[in-house]
Amino acid sequence: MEPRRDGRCLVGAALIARGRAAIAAAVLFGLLAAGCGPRMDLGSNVLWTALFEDGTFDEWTNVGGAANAYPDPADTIVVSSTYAHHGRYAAELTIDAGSDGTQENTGLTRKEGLPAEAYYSAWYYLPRTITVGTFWILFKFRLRTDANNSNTENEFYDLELTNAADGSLTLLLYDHQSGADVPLVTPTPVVPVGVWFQIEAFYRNAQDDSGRLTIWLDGRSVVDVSGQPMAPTPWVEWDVVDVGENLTPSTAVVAIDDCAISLSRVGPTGVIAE
Amino acid sequence: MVGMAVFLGAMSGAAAQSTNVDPASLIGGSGSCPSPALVWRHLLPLVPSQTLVDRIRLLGGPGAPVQIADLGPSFLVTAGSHVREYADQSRDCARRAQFAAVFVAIAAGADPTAAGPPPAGPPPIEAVRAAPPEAPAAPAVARLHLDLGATADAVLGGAGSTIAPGILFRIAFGHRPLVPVVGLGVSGPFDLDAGGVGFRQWRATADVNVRAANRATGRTRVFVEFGAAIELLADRATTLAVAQSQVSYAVGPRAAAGLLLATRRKWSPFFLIHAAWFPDAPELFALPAGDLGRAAPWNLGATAGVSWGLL
Repeated sequence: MEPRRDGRCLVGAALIARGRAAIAAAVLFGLLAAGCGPRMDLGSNVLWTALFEDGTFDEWTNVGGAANAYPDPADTIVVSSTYAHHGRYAAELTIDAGSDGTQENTGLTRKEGLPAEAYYSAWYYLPRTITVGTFWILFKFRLRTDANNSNTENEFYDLELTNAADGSLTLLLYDHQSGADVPLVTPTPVVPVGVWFQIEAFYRNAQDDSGRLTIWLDGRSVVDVSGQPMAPTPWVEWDVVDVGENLTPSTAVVAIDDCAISLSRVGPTGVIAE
Repeated sequence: MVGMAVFLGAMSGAAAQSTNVDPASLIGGSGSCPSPALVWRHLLPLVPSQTLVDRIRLLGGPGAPVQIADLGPSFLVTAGSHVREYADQSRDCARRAQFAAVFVAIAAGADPTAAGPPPAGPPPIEAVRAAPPEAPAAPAVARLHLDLGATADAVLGGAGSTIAPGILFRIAFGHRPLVPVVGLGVSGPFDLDAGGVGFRQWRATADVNVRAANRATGRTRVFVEFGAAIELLADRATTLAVAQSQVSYAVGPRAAAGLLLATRRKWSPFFLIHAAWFPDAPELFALPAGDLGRAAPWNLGATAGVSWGLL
């Protein structure tokens, strides 16, 4: 470009005449005006959540789930503000499981339209430690041998609490189909008392060898079952429960909050709702 | 062209007329072939001196109304709004001065044939041979340049880095060493992954710059640009169960360096590399991963295209 003095410029004439000032202004503008727009919310892999913040179990019951407590009148399930992981409310499940040999049950159930492969997450709070006599279950998957026949429902995997040698609470996975405990990846993981902890499971209910069940406690893998078929049909039931028998003391309270079903792992730092 | 050469030959013997005006105030330029003084000497025999001074002054301009630029194998004469480039590979400075003088006289509206003394006879045959070689005249320097090019755009840093194709459209106003430039660019799709969340991104950038160009070196013109850019980002997740399109923006400084290969046509190829920095690029978010980090703050590109000179 040859320097010219003919003054034939169009709309840029004024700027040209002030070229150095324009350069400085443009750079200054670029530096000072540096900014950004709103956060970009790309979407979600969370298929469903239960936060209990409306004070009800509607998040469960509106999608075909249920909240149950039986058989003892002392077995209760309520939405309470006594405990809360986030927000003001959580579910408070209480059973009175004495030494009479009766299984006491409270729980929240999801069984309609669950995917064959997903992550299932829930936060738990145990106000006090318990000595487990027979069993104490927190988290479970059930199956159907005929996906379209509710009469074929059966137990599958129970994630239970048991006592370690030192009396602390630890996890145990029981497989109803094999009638045996599943070996843990991490031996005797300690389940904390008095603080919230997260249990998350990846469950791929495949009927071939690609089936998988992995369970994390506060983000740490404790169980990994893989390379084998899972339930006989893709039908899935997921329960967060307080089910026990022969507990000492007999009254066992479990608070449950921030439940989610997701197509990607939630983890302890995951966000399931904005 | 031949006629002009004959006429110049006829004028070659004319006596120079004196004037009290400083020629440097009328004819400027830093080149030596031809020098402004030599052009002035060739101009005096063509037009009566006072008429010449008045006419040239009417051409206006903040400095000398006539500018002579030596471009090596060619030379450029600017007389007010009249511009002409002549090719002369032989660099015959006297001949160049003759042509420049005639061009200035005509551009100034003075009738060279009215100047005395009249031609002393038939034009010498040497004058015909002295004409510059036939060459297409360069188009007048355009006051508006439209640039259109294909871009390879890379986004770097932040939540993810990748490269994607794009197009770039720019308008440069004027032809001085410093001119304002505005541009628009679109690039994509960028397939990115942030925190395990895959998403597809399109970017549209609008920028305002000042372009500084060097003196022409042969047919090559090098320029740099500094300015600011605003970038619109459109993202859509590709790996989420519930995906939603999101649009946001970022603002930051921009710089570029380019090369224009001038031709005698209205269009010339150009190459441009450019970089924009968006220090506060928008944050990305998805459930359940949460914060995925910021969008890439660096945008680097290389563009090849065509620049059209208009007006």
